[in-house]
Amino acid sequence: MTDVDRLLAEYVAEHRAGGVADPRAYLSRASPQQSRELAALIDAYLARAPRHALDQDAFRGSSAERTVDELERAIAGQAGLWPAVLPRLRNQAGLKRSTLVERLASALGVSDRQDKVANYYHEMEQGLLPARGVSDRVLEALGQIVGETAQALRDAGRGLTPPDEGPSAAPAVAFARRAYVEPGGTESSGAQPPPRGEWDEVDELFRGS
Amino acid sequence: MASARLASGSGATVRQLRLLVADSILRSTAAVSFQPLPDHELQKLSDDELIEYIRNSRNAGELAAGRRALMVLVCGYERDVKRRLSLRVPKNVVDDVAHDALVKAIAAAFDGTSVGEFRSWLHTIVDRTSVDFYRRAERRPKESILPSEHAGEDDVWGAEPSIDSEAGAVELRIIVEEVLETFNEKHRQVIEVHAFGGLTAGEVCDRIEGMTVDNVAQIASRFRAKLRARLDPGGAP
Repeated sequence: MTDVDRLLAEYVAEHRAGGVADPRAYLSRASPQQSRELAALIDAYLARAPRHALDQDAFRGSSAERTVDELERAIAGQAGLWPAVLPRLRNQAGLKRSTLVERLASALGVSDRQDKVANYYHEMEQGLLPARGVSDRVLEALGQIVGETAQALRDAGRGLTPPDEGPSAAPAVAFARRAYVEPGGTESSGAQPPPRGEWDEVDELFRGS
Repeated sequence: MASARLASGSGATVRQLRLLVADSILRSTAAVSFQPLPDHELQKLSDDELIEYIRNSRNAGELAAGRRALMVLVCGYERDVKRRLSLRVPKNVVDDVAHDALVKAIAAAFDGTSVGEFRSWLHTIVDRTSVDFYRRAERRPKESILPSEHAGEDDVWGAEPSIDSEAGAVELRIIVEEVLETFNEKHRQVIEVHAFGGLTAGEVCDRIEGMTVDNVAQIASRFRAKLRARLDPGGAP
C-alpha cells in the first residue's frame, strides 16, 4: 500500500465516522509529489459522497443555518436571490448597512431622503421588494458600492421562479408580507407602495421600472 | 411604473383582479394536496424529491415545512462542499464561497435550470464558484471581510489550498473524470466503488459479476498510474 493509498483510506474512514476530515490535514502529511494525487482522489471521493443526515444540534447557529435562513427568505419573497446575495456582498465589501445606504442615497442624488432609501434597501435584502421594479440606476450604483455588476444583481433578482410558474403566479404576496426580524431587532412586514399622490423620485427608482 | 401605480391605488385593473383570483385558487389547490412530512420521512427523500417538496410547500404556503426540507438539503452537503472548496480557495473565503455555491445550486434546481441529478450539479457549481472566486479576485485584488467574520470559528479549515489559481480550481475534478473516461463502463464501475466508494477488492467482486480480486487490483493500479501521469506529465513513471 502506497502512502497515498494509506492516507486516502484513513481519510475515508474519518469522513465516514463523522470526523472533521479536513482534507488539508491529510495533504500536509503527503510528500509534495503525492499531494496533488491525494487531493484529486479526496476531491473525487467527496464529490461522490452521499448526503449526510441532518444534525439538529450542529445546525443551530451554524453557517448552514444562515444559508437556510437566506434561502427561505428568498423562496418566500419577491426579490429572487437578493436575500441570499445582497447581505453577503455587503459583508464582503466590509460595509455596515447604514454606510451602504448613505453611499447609495448619495450616488442616486437623493441624500436628503436617506431614510426612504434605507427602507427600500432593507426590503431588497429581506426579499420584500419586487425585484422587477428596481431600476437599473439603483443596481448600477449598488453594484459599484459592493463590487458586483448591475447585470449580476439583476440576474440574482430574477432567480427562484419555479419552471411551471409565470411571474404572476410566483411568490404569493401574502408570503412576502411575512414578518422577518433582523438580528438588530428591526422587524419589517414589507412596505406597500405609497399612495399615488405621495409617489416621489425614490419610489420611482425602487418601484418604478 | 404604471403597474405599480395601478396596484397601489384604487385603479386595479380587471386583469390584475383575475390574476389575484387565479393565484388564490392555485394556492388553495396546492395547499389541499400538500402534506408536510416529519423529519425522518424527509431524510428518506432523494435530493430531487426534496427540491420538489420545497417547491410544493411554497405553492401551498407551508413555509415552515419547506424550511425543514431546506435544512436537510443544506446540512446534508454543506460540510463536504466546504471540504472540497478547502482544496481550491483560501481558508478565509471557504464559508462565503460554499454559501454562494449552495445558493446557486439550490436556486437552479428550484427553478428548473439545473442539469442532471442534484449532487452532481451541486459539485459542478462548486467548481464554477471557485473559478468565479479567482475571476472576482482579479477584478478586486483584495477581498475584504468584516473583522468579526470567522472569529472563534473552529470549523474553518487550516492551511492553504492545494491549488491557487482559476485553472487549478477546475482541473482537480476534470482530470479525474478524464482519466475515468479512458476506461470501459465496467472498469469505471470498479474504480467508482473501489477507489471512491471504499469497497475492498473482495466486496467489489461480490457486487460486480466476473471480477476477481486480481482484476480489481490491476484496474485500480492502472487508474492510479494514469492519474499520476496526467497530474504530472513530466514525472517519473
